[in-house]
Amino acid sequence: MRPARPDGNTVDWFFEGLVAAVLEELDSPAGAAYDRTLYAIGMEYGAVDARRALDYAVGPRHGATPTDKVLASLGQTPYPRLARRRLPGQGIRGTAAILHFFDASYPLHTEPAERALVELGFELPSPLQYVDYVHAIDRLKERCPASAVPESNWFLSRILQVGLEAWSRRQARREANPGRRVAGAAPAQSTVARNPF
Amino acid sequence: MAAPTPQDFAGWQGLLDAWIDDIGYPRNLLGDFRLEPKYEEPPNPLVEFGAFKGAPKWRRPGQAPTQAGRDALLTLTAVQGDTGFASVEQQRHLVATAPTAYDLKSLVRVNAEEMRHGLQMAHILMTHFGRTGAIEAQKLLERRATRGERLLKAFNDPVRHWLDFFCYTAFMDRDGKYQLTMLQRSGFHPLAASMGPMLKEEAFHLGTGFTGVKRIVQAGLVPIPVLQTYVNWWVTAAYDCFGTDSSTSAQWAYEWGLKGRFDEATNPQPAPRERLNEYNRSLYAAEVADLLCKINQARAPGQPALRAPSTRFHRRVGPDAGQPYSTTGARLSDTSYADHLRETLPTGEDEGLLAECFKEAWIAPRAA
Repeated sequence: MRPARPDGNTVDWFFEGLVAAVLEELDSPAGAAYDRTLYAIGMEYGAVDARRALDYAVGPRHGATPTDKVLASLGQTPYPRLARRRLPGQGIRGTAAILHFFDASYPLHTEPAERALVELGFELPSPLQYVDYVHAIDRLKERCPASAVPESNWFLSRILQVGLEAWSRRQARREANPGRRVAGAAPAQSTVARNPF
Repeated sequence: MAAPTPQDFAGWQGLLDAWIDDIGYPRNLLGDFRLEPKYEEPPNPLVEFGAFKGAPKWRRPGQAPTQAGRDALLTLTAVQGDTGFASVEQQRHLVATAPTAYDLKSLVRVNAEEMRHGLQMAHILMTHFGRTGAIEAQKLLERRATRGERLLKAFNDPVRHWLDFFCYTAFMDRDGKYQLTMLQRSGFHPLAASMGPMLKEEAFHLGTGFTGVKRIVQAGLVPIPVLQTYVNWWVTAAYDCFGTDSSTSAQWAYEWGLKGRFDEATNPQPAPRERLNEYNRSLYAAEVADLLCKINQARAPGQPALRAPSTRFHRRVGPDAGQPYSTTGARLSDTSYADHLRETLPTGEDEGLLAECFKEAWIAPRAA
């Protein structure tokens, strides 16, 4: 059993569980589906690649795929400026998917990852703007110790997104079973740091 | 005519631009990757081992207690920087033959980050070591792996093709992880503070190598015994990168608090100061053996297993250099050793076979 940390820093707990969470996802069907998408996306990013990204992240009922002209314009903007842009016909999830598979520094957006960021103490606006989500993950990237980064050919944005989702799932399990310890979840008595940075 | 020694880091960056052009790296592939120094607080603010354990880490070389220690710092920084630029020179030609777009993107990221690692060391040399540091920073961009001028032997070896690249990133970059981890515990703050960002980037290189070798095994086209010869080559090259046995330089670097053991943070035992390189190499060899066990799980039934060669085999550095040891560490006669080398290291015949394999589906897609 892990020792309780009454004043434990929730972000440190998050990083402690990151390697295990990512390695589990790497070997899972979900990890394989991500890898297949990543593998299929071309170097000259075009509409077919954006469609693959949307199929993976949003599903077959995604909005209209941006035109080649819009996609070509992405290549002229250094990270993270595109995070302020909403691609035509897409919400945050679709925009994030197109940007992520175009430049993996941009994280995929999922609700569990967003929820975990809030649980870790990030104050995200409602309704969420993708740029705030990106900035929060960038701050996690800076804070992340090297020992928490598993050896994988995933980018750090993907590693953190997967870790956030796993954190969110564990917290949900803990809340559903308040009397039981859940491996990798913050201890029940831990104080969530409102300003972890 | 030789370029004048740079006066400041901006001047050195001008030389870096010229180096990128000189080696012919396609700038369009580098995209918006930011070649800039990154520092983050090291895990411990104090000197962690050696004679000055417990003192605050030194912010400037002048704070290090001895001139010999300062000289050692300069050398450690220059050697580390040399490997980053060397590896890009070794791999640069592979952009033309990537098996897939994904692999090309991985290669470019690895190369860009290795350039940044070289730049990081140059930033320390330019910022902290005066004119001597500037000359060393300049030399980082003047030596060429392609001319056999890089400081460590293995960084002059050709990376012939993508199978070499995956072995290189799986095994040589793993030595890199060891070196960076040892320097993360350095008593010299700028060096220790450089290592966190570098290690985070190195994790991707290692993942690329591991996945790549595993995909080759999964595809089943390259015969395992042939793949084993390349594993033997690059793993033994990495063994050499740990340095000579009974190294007094390693001993002094430890004594001065400049470079620790790989497991310095977690090992409560006193360091084997006279055998530091051997000790770190033994940890590396065990890790490689474990890695190969994981890769072997991707084999088709009945295929032989990949194995890590003995740390005595095919050494080019240290007391075992040129000695007739087999891949299992048995001592052989000179005649049988020559035969053994032909069987266990890549040959022209192997290269020919690989050239044929590369025309087919020699590497499995990711998550096949």
